[in-house]
Amino acid sequence: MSRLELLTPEGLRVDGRRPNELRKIIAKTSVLAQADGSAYIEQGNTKVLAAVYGPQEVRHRMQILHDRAIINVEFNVAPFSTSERKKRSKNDKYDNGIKLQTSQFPRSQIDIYLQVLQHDGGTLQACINAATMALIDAGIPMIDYVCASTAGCIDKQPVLDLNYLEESSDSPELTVAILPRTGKVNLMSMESRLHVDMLESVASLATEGCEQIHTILDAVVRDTTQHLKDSLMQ
Amino acid sequence: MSLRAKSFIKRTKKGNVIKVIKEHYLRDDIWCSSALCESCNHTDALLSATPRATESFRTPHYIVPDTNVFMNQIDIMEHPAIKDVIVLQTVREELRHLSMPIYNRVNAIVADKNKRFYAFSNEHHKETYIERMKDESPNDRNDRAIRVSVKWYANHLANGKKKAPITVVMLSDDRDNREKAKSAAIKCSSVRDYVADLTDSPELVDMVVSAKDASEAQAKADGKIEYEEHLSQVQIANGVKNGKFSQGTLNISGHNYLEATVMATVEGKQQNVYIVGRKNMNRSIQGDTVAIQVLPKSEWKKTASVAIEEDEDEATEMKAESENTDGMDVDNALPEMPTAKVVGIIRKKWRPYCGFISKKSIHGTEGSTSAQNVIFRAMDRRIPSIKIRTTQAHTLAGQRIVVAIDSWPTTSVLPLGHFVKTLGSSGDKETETEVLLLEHDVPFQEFSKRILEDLPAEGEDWVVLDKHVHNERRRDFRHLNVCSIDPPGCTDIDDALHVRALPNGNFEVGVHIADVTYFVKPGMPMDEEAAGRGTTVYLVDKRIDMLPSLLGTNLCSLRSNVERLAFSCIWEMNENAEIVNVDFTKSVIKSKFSFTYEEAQNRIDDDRMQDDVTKGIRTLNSFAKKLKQRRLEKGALTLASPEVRFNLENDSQDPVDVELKELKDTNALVEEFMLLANISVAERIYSKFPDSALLRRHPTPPDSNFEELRRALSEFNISLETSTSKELSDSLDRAVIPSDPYFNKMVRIMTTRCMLQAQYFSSGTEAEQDFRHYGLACPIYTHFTSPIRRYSDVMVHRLLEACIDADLTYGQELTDKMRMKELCDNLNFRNRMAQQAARSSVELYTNLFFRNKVVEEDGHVIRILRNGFVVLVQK
Amino acid sequence: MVREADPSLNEKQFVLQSLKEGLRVDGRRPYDFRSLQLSFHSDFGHVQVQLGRTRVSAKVSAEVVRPRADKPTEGLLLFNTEISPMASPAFEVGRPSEEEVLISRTIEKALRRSRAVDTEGLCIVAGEKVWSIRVDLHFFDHEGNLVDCACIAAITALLHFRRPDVTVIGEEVTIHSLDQRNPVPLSVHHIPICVSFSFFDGGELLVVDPSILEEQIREGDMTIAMNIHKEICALSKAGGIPLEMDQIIRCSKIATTKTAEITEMIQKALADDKAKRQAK
Repeated sequence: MSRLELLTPEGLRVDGRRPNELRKIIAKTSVLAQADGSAYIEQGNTKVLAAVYGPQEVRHRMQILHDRAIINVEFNVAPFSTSERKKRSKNDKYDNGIKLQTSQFPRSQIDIYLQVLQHDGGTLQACINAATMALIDAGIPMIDYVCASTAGCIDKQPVLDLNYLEESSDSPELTVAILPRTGKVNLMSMESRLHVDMLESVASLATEGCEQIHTILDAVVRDTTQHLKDSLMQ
Repeated sequence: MSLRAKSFIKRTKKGNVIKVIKEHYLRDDIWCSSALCESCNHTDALLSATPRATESFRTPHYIVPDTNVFMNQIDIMEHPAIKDVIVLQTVREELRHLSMPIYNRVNAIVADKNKRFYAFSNEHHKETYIERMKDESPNDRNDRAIRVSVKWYANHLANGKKKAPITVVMLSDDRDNREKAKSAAIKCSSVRDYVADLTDSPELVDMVVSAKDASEAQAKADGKIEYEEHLSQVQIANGVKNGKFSQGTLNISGHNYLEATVMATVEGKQQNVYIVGRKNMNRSIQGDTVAIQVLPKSEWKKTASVAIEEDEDEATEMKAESENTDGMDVDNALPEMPTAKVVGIIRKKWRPYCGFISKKSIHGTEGSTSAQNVIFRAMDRRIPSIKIRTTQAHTLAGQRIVVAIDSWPTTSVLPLGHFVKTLGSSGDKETETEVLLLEHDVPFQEFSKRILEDLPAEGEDWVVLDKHVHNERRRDFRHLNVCSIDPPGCTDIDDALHVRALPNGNFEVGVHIADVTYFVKPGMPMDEEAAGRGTTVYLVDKRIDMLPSLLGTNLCSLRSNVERLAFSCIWEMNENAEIVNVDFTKSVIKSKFSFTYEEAQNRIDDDRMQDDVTKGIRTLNSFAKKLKQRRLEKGALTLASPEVRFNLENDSQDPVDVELKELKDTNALVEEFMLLANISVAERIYSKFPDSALLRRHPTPPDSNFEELRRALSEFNISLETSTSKELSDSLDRAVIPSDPYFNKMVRIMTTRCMLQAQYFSSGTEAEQDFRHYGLACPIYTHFTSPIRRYSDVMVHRLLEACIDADLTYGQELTDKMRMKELCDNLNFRNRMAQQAARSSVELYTNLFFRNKVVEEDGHVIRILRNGFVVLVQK
Repeated sequence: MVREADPSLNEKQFVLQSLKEGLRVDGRRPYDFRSLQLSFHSDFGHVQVQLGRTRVSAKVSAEVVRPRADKPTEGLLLFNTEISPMASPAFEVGRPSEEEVLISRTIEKALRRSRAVDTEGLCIVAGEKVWSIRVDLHFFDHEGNLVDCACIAAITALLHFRRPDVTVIGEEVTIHSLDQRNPVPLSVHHIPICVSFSFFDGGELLVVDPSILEEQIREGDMTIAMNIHKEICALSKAGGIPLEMDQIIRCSKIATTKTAEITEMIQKALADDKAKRQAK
């Protein structure tokens, strides 16, 4: 509805968050048995499942790269993921710009499968985060985490981590993925119109979000590893 | 930072039922904003440390009103005496769904820091959020949420470390809610009781709206209205046949968009039937052909007209309507007028409308591009507001836009439409001109390629050749002293004159009209286009041509010292200007001079000028005076209409001065001969085409048209005889007040407004006695003299050519009376529109001229409405 | 799939070395666009754009269709890209390459999602008839930076296009043929211009409007679509080397000036064409 008030006078958003707050994040790794690495992430009501297979032999010999591995990403949105069921969307290819040490695995292939189970805004960021977690779970060496976060701009106020309502209200949405250690930007993608002067503040808010996400994801990974270690020690 | 996630399920209807899951975060960092509180971490507390205490509530307290208090008593809430109020989120959300205007007013109060209204997000507060219980209605849940918040505030403030005696009072007009609050030990009061204690502002008590009024006001504010279903075409057809319904064209009053008239037969008499109010108009729109059912006499209209402009705010608009109906009993002096309601629409006249988006209906912030419903208001005040849905509301604000109506469901107060295009920003001259062209349905596109292909291939180099003289039986008038007299700056000269003495002592007078039909042949795309346009439209700063300008201002235009083709009407007249003989012929002329009225006048007046041309003009002038004299004796009317001329600044085309058009003798000279030519031609074509001659008539106005004027004049003891134009003309001459020299002119202007429109018609469709031209007092008339700017004249040229050239072959377009009638209908429509467009253009420029300007002038009040009046300003 | 031969190491080094000295192989400065040529065909909405030697043609057509049920008052705007092997051996018939998908997505983002064309104005009768505007992009020659070239072609074609005039009276719709009534232009809200960047040397060096050679040896790329009002309509940087945020902000500033330049060129070309048409 157009009558929706996205930002109340007291500075709260539709779901009660403040502009610079992320939604609640739940992340789990090793959720699938078959996959070499897998992860499940919830960012608010956006839920994504990721599975990583590989490094493995390249399926089509033609595609072999002799100096590094090829990465194949499949992205799928479940038809039940939105409140109104839509026709199955075609397989959309996102190049998520995952930063891997690909040169370690020449002539091989790494498959990443992403499944959006529920969609409530910020699919791309959730997918990137889930893929990162799954790759870590698979034990594939990476330069760093790739943490992604969205930020938008409502009433000239930069806001972090848009949900579906905010996203569909036609506010600009910027997705940023960074390497937290260096702070370098790995991916940046934006839709809708944003004034160039706002770019900096929105981007820096998104970067901030990425760092927060990094802290959360890192904690989850360390916790799982600790758990693993503990169980081994016993 | 601490977040608590809480998902909840909501069902919304959007065509089908869907499950919406939203996140709902509960926080523990929402502060109470009381200046006294020490447990909260807020800075800049909004609520003062020393709020008001009253008789009934002796502890200083904050006020927490419920939703209905804001809904109904918003005026009180806006009163400066009311301060330190907590506006709960629950309340604001409810308001937003109930009434946008009130919601906006509340937001304005909250934004005003001096009012100390604090918006408390209780729905996101960890301790004040409540779940809806089983079997609890949303309303009850919200009431409970309010009570919980009030309770929380009371406890929270009581636990403040300072132990300051401070509390909260809930305001509610809902007794049930108050009971429940009391049982939960919450202090509460009704608004009336509360403000009664505010002895320093006694006026507040009077401002309290009682609950019953409130609910009515709310119903009105919501604008709930449901229309009756339209009857089916079959039902209407039967109804019209058996006399239950009448049909006619809906004509909405320009002063009051809620009042319309339909010309229909009621009680065996053709008369105007009133239709009052939205409900009775039942979704019909200006110009629709509607079926109406006359209401019982008890509901007939008895009141004078009221000027109502559609207000921006829906709420007050509704009020205006109710006032209107209330006012019905006030004035019983007027006779009852038949009143009806619309039962069905036979033909819809929807078209794209120009207008603007009502600023108040736009919500959301600048730059937001989400879709929203906004109210569009047409420039034509007779068109209702249209609800449109657009994503560009903010961009469109302040713009002139075009909107088309899609539908008007019975449950919607206003019709629904969609955005078509933007014309430009309002107030901009070009945009406004485009608006008025569109509004008057004036076709103003550039001529398309196909049409331009019909122009002679030689283009500007086209010249009169010998073959024109020899092969087409044209008479060669190139040696005659032909000249034209036109307003200054005129480029489309379609008439020229000559006179010469004949050996027998009579005179030969010739009127030469541009031979447009030589270039515009029937069936050409150019001809079709011209027929569609009907007329050239003259605006203050612009001319919309009927014919491509190569023809209009060059090849056809009878410019001086260029050979041009003409259609001539040649009279032999004796010295008393009586016609001895008349002849029509195609010709070739070479005009010697193109004068302006002023130049011609100077020649007449300057005795030193004794050349042939000047002498000719003098002869013509004396003839014209005689002709005019004779015409006036027969009863031709001299009416007046205020015609305005603008002096435009050259560069910006901004009007720098306004003046009334001045009339000189020479204007009359040209006019007189044109009238004569028109009459002569009319007689001639009627004799050959009794069924399908294109003529022009001016019907005798019905007596009732003069009633108002007559009543006004009776105040001055002046009577008005209207049965023939002769009588009217005489009584107008008598209508003089010696002390007021302008009076007579004014009466003439007002008489003009009582006249009916002159119309084109096909001679076969009317009885011969109805051919009369009332204003000119002649039995038959047509238009022959301006083929460059009027299509009627083009047609008449063709008819006349068929009369004089026996060899000419022509088709049905000249003989079929029904085709001629259709053409006439279109021409009448285009003419009317062109006139209105020209008038609107003058209005526009008048407005531009008077913008930001105060000018003092004398004026006469010429009409009084119940709440307004119309003034005529002389200058 | 025929893979195009990668540039040799020498070539690579040469390009990099010159870039370090602020030079480009084709003689441009790093922030220069190649020369832009717009040529219009005789019919409206058919444009060929040549950016250096990259050549793209865009053709706009309109037809009346039923609107989508959820947006009854909005017309449709469709883009169709076709990269044939004519442009470069890397492309194959029938199978859209990854590059093609990226190009069409960027164009779509830049022109459609940013609402460059007023789709509401394309409505004839709500829920019944709307205009569907289709932009066909054909790529003839690939000398690098297809995206920018295609974007310029698409928006210029849209600006140039005229659709038949329509009148609606009551519920009757008349579509006038082109010679009956002069066709009307689309209402274009703003002109998004894509500006692409390529990055080298760990993101330290950047060039605008990369040539095909630069595209082959670049380490990262980014495209910003912006309009004259300094609004970013779309931004996409995917893959490639990570960049400093400052670098991205700098790119957005460069894009601002480039957008202004290109917009001016487009408008001039359109004005020239209009004058030429009227002179006829």
